[in-house]
Amino acid sequence: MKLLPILLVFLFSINSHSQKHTTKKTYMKIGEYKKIHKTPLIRKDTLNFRYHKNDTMVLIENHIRPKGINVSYEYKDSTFLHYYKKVAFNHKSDSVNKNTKMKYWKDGIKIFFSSSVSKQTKKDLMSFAKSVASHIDSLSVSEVRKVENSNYIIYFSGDYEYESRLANRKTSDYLYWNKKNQIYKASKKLDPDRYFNEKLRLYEMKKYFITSLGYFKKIDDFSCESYFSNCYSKSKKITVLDIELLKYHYSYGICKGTDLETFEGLHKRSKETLKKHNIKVNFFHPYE
Amino acid sequence: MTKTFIALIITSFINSSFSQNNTDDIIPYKRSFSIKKNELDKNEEKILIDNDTLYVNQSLHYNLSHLNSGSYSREKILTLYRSLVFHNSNEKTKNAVYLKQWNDDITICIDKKLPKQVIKDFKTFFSDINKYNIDNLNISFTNNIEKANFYIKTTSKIINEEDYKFDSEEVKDKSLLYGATYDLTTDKNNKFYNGILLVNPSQSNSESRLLRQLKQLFYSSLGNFCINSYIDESSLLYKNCTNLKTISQLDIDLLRIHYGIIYDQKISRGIFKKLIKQSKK
Repeated sequence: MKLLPILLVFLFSINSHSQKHTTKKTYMKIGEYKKIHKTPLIRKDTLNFRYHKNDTMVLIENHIRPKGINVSYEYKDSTFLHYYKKVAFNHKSDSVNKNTKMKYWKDGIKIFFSSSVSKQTKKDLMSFAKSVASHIDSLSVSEVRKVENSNYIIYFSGDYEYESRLANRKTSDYLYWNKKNQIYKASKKLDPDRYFNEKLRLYEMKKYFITSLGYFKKIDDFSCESYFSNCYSKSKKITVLDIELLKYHYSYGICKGTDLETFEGLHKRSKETLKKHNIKVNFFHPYE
Repeated sequence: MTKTFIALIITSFINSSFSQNNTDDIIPYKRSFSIKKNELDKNEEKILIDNDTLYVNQSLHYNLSHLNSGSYSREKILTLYRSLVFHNSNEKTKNAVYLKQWNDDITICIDKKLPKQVIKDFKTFFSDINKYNIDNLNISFTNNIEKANFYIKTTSKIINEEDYKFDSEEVKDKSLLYGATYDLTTDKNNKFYNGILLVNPSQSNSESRLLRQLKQLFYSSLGNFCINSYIDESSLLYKNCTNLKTISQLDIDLLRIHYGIIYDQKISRGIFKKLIKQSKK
């Protein structure tokens, strides 16, 4: 799944025209072909070789392109990418691991609040969440009344224990993601004694909401006003750069759920292609 | 002689090349980005966004004068300060202790279940701190818990009866933590933004003891300062301190050092040492 949009960048199509019909032939670089096909190339394959810009291209027979959309690569400068990588690739330790993967929500977020959460706090959080989501094309947020309809739960210690993994903690949170690095469930539990007023509770909920949109890392580079910063501010706000980082994370112009190595490789190749040939680079996102 | 002279010049050049010239080298500053039109500085860090450019703010060099002031001799108070803030830890210690500060004005709400005189005396004592105009530290009181970020709360639960072993009843009675405790919420940058001082008045045998306990624990919470028996007896951090009526000059000086700057990054003992060195330049 992860490889599909990446490899399709290197697929090369030739249209053979005849009087009656058009046949589309798809080729792949020999290096890429060998990575995903375990069977050796046979004589028939070699007869169909084509040469394109010093590369040997192998004919892919009966290639059926899955349904999906082609989206232009979204160029970003190196400074932006430097910060994006620090935020989106949340390494387990302080050292950079090229295998760390970015995470994102595939489906809309449906928030359930336990009955202990005050009406005003619910209203303020939903207003904040919807305002953030309004900037992001592929993200929706709504409130649900029934816990079974939710994929995002906010509750206090002392309430019903909605998330068994948080049973021994008064304040904590938990995110679930699948093998495609798609987040599908979130829980935030707060200790109402520690966060003794609505202002403190709302602050924690807003902070977690942003973090949970991509299992983001809070970094020490940004001033405390930013939600991606690792420090408190009474003037916390969604900055212009915060919005840009979120928009980019959910943009179709990048591949989702990739590891850091793939992400960096893609950007390097795409930028080189843009620079050398000044041609548009596309990503293919198959529908699921 | 000529060779020695050249060697000295080279050594001096190397030293000046590798020395830290400003505090940004010691504590990287935090960046905020904003849209500015017609920016001329091409070297400034910038990010291209749709139809606009975000420019990074200019770094603010720290003024380290707070590390050079105080009525006690400079070296003496800084040595004391380091032991109070970093305890016995350094970079090599397994659980290094970092400098901790409030990154917000402190607004205290006191539970009305505490004796009125205790509340009144506590408020008078700590309202006085503001008269000293300590940079970055502002303490105020509110009766509205929704406006507070520090809550002095009573409880009927017994505090620290079983968690601590006291040698005698007298020691237990004098102990600051018998019948009271505090809990501060810290961000990932070692800055406080919320705190609770929990106290069980029934564990105190007098209002005087209760007041002393609250004063000492609150003062300690301002920097997670270590309470000990080697500091001057005039300090609230002195283990067996008496019920002081006004805050001592030493405690004010310690706060001036502690809140002279709200540091952008985590400060370890080693980094603090570099800042002291820098302040001498």
